[in-house]
Amino acid sequence: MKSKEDSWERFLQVMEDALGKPTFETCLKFSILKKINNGKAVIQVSSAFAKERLETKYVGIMKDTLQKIYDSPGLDLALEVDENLLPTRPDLPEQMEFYKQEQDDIPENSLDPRYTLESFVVGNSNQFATGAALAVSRSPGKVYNPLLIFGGVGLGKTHLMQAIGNNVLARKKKARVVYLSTERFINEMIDAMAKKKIEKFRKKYRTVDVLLVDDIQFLVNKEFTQEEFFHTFNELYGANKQIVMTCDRLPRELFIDKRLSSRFEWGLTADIQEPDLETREAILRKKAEQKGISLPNSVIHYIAERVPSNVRELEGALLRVLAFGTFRRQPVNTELAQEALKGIIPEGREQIPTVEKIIEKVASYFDIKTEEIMSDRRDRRFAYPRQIAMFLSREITNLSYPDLAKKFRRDHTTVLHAYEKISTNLHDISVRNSVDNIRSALKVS
Amino acid sequence: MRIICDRKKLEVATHNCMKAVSIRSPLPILSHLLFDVEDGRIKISATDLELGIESYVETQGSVEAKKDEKRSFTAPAKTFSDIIGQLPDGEVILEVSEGQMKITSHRSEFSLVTLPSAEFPIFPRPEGASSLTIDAGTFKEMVRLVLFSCASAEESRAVLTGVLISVNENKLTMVATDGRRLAQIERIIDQLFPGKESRVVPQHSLTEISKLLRDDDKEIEISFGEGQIFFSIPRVFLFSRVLEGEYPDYRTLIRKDYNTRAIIDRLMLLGAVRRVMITAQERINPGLIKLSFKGDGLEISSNTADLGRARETIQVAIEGEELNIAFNGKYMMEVLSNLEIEQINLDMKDPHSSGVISPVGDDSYVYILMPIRIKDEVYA
Repeated sequence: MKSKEDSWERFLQVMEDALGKPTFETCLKFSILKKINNGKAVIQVSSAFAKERLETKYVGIMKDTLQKIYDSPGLDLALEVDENLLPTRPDLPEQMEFYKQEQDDIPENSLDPRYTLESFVVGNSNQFATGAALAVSRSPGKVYNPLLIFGGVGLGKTHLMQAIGNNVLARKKKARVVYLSTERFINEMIDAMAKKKIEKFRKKYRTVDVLLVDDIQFLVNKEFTQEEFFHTFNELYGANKQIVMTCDRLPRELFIDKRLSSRFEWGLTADIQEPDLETREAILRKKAEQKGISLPNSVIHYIAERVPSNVRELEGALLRVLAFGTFRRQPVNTELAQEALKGIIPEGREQIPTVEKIIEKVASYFDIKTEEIMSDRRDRRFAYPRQIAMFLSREITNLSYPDLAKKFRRDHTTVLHAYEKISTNLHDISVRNSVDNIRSALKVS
Repeated sequence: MRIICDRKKLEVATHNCMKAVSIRSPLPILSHLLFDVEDGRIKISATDLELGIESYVETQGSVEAKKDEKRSFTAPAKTFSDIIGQLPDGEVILEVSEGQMKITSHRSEFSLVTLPSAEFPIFPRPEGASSLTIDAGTFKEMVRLVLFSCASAEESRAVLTGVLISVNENKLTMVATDGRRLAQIERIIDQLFPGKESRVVPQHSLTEISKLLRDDDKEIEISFGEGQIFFSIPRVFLFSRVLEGEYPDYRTLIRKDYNTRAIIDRLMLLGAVRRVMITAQERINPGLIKLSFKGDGLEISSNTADLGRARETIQVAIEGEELNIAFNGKYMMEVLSNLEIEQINLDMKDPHSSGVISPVGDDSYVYILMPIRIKDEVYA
């Protein structure tokens, strides 16, 4: 007879293979089998996020595996949350000081109190990121550090990040939470350098408990700022302080310096995808509710269908419809919505962007010149965007390979090769993310 | 005007002033030395406006000068000092006229461009400032025993980058702290100072005045001016700007109570700390060493996760309770290598309160260092 521990170890091993390492480590690694009797197993997991994720996706396979390993067909399974299961890093040594830090050196948090987790609409597209945000705000510095939220424009990165800050403050009033845009970080740094107060600047950001930095893609091509940010990052990380960052793509696509990108992706990288129709409807309902207005389902459905991706545009469309109603003194219905959104959002079939337009967007996304895409240069910096441009052109326009080859001033087999290469690599999150982002920039889905 | 000096003496006087020369100043005059010809000697001055040094060199024979000729002139400091340093020993003749300085010695001849001496900033004088006189060796010792505790130049609290020098009746005190450790030394002076004075003096100025003091200098005079402090020994006069701002109240930090007192041989402790420090290279808190007082032994240890560990036990006399505490070994080494006594006391209250190092039987010097807070089980 095998011991209980052996079986549990075996179960964990099977699950690690089944779930994949990242999911296993976030959801099951620290869990324990609380009891197994009367045809029921109770497993304790380390976070509510883990529980939810396991329940929605993996409960079936978990049950099957348990039944097999413990040889008890029909075994039922229940999950419980015990946050104490998470290993906390040991308290680090701290050099004590005579005099306390001056109070005025603590930066203001500049959080917008309206951005909370409660007001964030959770759907399939952002469930993972929301779970991570919740876990981080409950035990900052201990679970996922750093947390990197990435996704396209207007999908709620900033909302989620600020919600972490607000949630931390709600739980611990005296926590030093700082939210700032990367742009502000850069400006303050340059200012401090000009005034020769760089040491003060350093201290300011190196004494916070939770640092929220928005849009780190702006650090690209700013070597010196990267360096300073890197040091601040290391110091906070070393002191177990929570760091949350947002970015519109994966850092490894962004930074040449591997040291930087690998640091950014050290902790947990959570992506926010474009919301599906259902989520878009939920977002509209929530927004309308916040404004104290009830909207007929047909109108919500109409707007959600017309605005395909961006949450910010979704909100804009809703406001427009509502304003139109107030202005006309008419009840809001589908006809009114149609009229309000006429001209703003293409009716029916969308306009197909030209190959030139696609090349332009790809170039601007990768921060290179359109001529460089058209050029013969074969460095990966140019070749990869070129392939993406060819792939998107093939997908979006209805042009044939020979036609496309002419547009790109290349052989048609080159275009064919590029298309196939990107298609087969679409499972790679960074490739898919680039493609999706450019698609949304082109306003096609 | 024609002046004759001994090269060696001229070199010493020039060298004394060089530390106050500002080579890269936007004001060209600050990269020059000022020469004032007095009876039987030349006064050489240099300043970067923060620090100013005057030094004297005697002249040989009589000074030949026209009637009404101005008795002061300047010369580019670096070049002048290089020339004097390279010349062979013997007489050096300086001839000044019409914006030119001619230097002749043996077969060498140099001609330097000078600047109008009126452009040179006027040196502040300690006139009317109260002053005291102290044995030069004692002064040098005081500076040596506190200087290393100053905060580094990057410190945001500027006042901590300097040394607090204060006088109260017949007691002179120097204090330096960087917020993690503090050194205080007191000495009795042979005179009654009228009232109280205190100034915070930049580290750099004290380093320079200490270097200028020679073993044969008997006394140094300190004058407390408005925004300035002056030091004078017969050969050299130095002024320094003082640091603005209020020095933190340090007196409350000096504790007299303790639960554990260890009496330790200074050199034995210094050697052990030095060795154990080799493996104290953790990224956070480099230099962290653990001290464990038990029975009549003190175990000193360090551990760096991906490097290795060290342990050394030395014999000590312990009064009071056994105790575990962690300090930055660098802070211990600095004080131990500067104290020139045989045995020290290390007084501690608990692992989260400061430790106090002082020479056995002498409470005129105290060195207080804050511990590094670590979890208890780490000592195991």
